[in-house]
Amino acid sequence: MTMEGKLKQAFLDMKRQDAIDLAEKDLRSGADSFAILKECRDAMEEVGKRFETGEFFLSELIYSAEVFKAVSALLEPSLTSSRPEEDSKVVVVFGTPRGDIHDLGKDIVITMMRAQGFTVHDLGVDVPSERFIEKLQEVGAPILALSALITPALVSMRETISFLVEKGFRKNTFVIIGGGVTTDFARKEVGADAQTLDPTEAIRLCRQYIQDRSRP
Amino acid sequence: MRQLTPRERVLMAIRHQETDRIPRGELLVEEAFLDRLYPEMAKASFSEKTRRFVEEVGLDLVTVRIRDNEEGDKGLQELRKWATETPYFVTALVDGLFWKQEDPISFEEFVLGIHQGESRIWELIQIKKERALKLIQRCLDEGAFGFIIGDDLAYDRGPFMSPQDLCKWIFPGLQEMVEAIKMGNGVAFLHSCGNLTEIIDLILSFGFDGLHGLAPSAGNDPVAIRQKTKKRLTLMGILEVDRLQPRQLEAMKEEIIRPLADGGGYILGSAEGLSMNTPLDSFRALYSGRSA
Repeated sequence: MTMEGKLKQAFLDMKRQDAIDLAEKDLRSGADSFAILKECRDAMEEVGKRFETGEFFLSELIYSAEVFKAVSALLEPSLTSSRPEEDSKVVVVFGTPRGDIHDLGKDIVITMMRAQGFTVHDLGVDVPSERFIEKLQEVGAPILALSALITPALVSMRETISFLVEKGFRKNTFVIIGGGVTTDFARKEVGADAQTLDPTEAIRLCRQYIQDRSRP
Repeated sequence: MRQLTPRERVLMAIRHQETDRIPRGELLVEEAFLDRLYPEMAKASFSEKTRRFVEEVGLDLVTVRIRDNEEGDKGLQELRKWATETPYFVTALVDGLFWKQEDPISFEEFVLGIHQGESRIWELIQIKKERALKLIQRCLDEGAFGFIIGDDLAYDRGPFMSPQDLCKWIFPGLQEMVEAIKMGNGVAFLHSCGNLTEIIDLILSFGFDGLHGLAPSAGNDPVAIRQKTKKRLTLMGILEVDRLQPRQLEAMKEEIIRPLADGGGYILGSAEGLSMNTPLDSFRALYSGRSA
């Protein structure tokens, strides 16, 4: 197995320290940081696929997200500001709406999105509607992602989306919701475009939206 | 059939015997829900409001939340009163061994620690188990007839961890808790949110008498679970009073619950307990009618 393959395998084997050691070794031997990052992203994509098929569980997703964060932190100093073009194509504003302070699911999805090159602006938890709109405007993000675990947050989601309509942002914003309390019925009730409990599907839906809107 | 006492009704249902009507029981009835239901009782104690609720709704199984903290003694006193002064089948709701918000570490740390085989996680689980076993004995001494072990092991996609990890870290301790309950002639139920389909066989293997929750929106199929478990497991709850409209609840009672309860093996109640978010009209639909 090549050195490249070993890093991906360490991710899939859930071996955090091995992954960190291999990334460090690659860096010391002069490997390109972006190439190492790409291998980590490929690994995360494979983790996502195995999660979809049921081979991996939420615990493996959390664990691999932590491994990815640890390796990314190693690579960060050597990554230049001129990232590959694909990194900035998908820009997302993400948060848990007002009334809900849960962030576990959100954090996993954000890590996986970043692993796939998305630019994600994480607004944290208990976020008021106005803050979401401010950030969308500030960064020009076409995607708003809302995550919630408790029922009252669905009301906040609906308010945020209504506020989007009121401010004239709704037409150009893809709204995706997720989290334990969301269902397709909830999606219709709050007025979102998509709903999923699966991080890989969330990534796919966001990419699909960007591709569709860039078509003439 | 003569009219059964609440305790007879619950025990016979657990033994999968025909009863005069389907027994009723709730996992949890929050005070905030009772305050909405009985606004005129604002100054009454939680105990008084609960007694009124139990009598008016016709519950047979009453659950007392027993916490392993300074509130625990109050809970035990309350349990004793229900067990010795009322005709109801009294169960103690106690915590299981999986991660809880009250734990000194985050969910992520818990999961990461298990993946890395950290001894501090194992020690935490063992401490929780020892405390749970002591609490179980105290509840049995105070007269509890049964227990609901509350352990949220799953979410909509299934268990949070692989069955292998659960078998290694959580289930051995859970089995000890069930054995302790059985040694005290108690009945053991498990409550977990989420989709339990993948771990039903494991739950059965521990000797649990029943399972509470089983929300269909989480991916559970109560009919399939009944077919699989036959008379080995009593199902409790299932009806999602927070999510469903009254007419949907009525339809579900008629189409799914009534056949499920035929011949015992089911206790009617909500899948998630009654809270400040529970719509009152859905709650009334849940308990409308005498036979269901």
